[in-house]
Amino acid sequence: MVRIDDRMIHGQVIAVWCKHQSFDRIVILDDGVAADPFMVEVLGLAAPPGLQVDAFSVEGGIQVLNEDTSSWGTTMVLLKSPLSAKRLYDGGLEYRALNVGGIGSGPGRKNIFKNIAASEEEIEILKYLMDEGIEITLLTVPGEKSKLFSDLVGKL
Amino acid sequence: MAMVNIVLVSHGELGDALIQAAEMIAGPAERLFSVPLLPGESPESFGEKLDAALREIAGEETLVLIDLFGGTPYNVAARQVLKENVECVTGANLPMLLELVMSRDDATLAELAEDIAQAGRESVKNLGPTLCK
Repeated sequence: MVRIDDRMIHGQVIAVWCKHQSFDRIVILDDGVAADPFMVEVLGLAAPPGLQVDAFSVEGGIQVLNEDTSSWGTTMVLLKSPLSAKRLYDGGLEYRALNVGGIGSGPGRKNIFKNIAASEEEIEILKYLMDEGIEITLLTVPGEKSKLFSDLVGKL
Repeated sequence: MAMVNIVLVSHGELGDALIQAAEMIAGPAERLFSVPLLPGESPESFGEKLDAALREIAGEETLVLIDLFGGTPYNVAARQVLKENVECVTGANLPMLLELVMSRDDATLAELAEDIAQAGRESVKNLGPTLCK
């Protein structure tokens, strides 16, 4: 699964996902986190037992993930932003589904669904990915209300 | 020695509420700060608020009390522990804050951090088996 969540690994949410779907690995693809060993340790410390946490730059991750496509079903790929999702796709990782789990509000961002906010630029990026045939679902945790980006896009 | 600063970082207003509750028991206390993560707020925005709060007390001994191990306030605040005069403890509850407020003049910062982690653990009791069953 490829997920956008600017909070990265945050206990409860990840624990719920991992119970719902048997992930055994989280791969964080973020240039800043990958270059910050202390942050990788902080995030890994909070991961539930039995869950491996790795961090790579977006470009570095494309290679790592493409070398081992058989493990995709049990791997959660975590990204901070739609821009990273685009870089991942354009860089050659052919994922077909994208979960948008959390993007915090901030200057220039408007709320689009529940706790998910996006800037005009980010909405355009999500439209681009949708047009490439990627199914984009807005969902924080399994069991909560979800929405397909394709059903929302006309109203944005 | 200057009084240790206490900075609560929490989901929503929990930190403010803990401060109010502690003052209700121990009386008004100084050098208590709260930095709330608001619903829908981005980690970046929360981090900026935390930095601004800590800038005011930079260089002073500070204990950062984090509400939830693994949550966003933890992810953002944990890095503060790298500073020489800062300790961070997770699992914030009222007994821990009370212990901090009442004994922060009597121990080193490292001892305080260890003491309140202990106080937090000891404050959790399952009353059924303890009292009667």
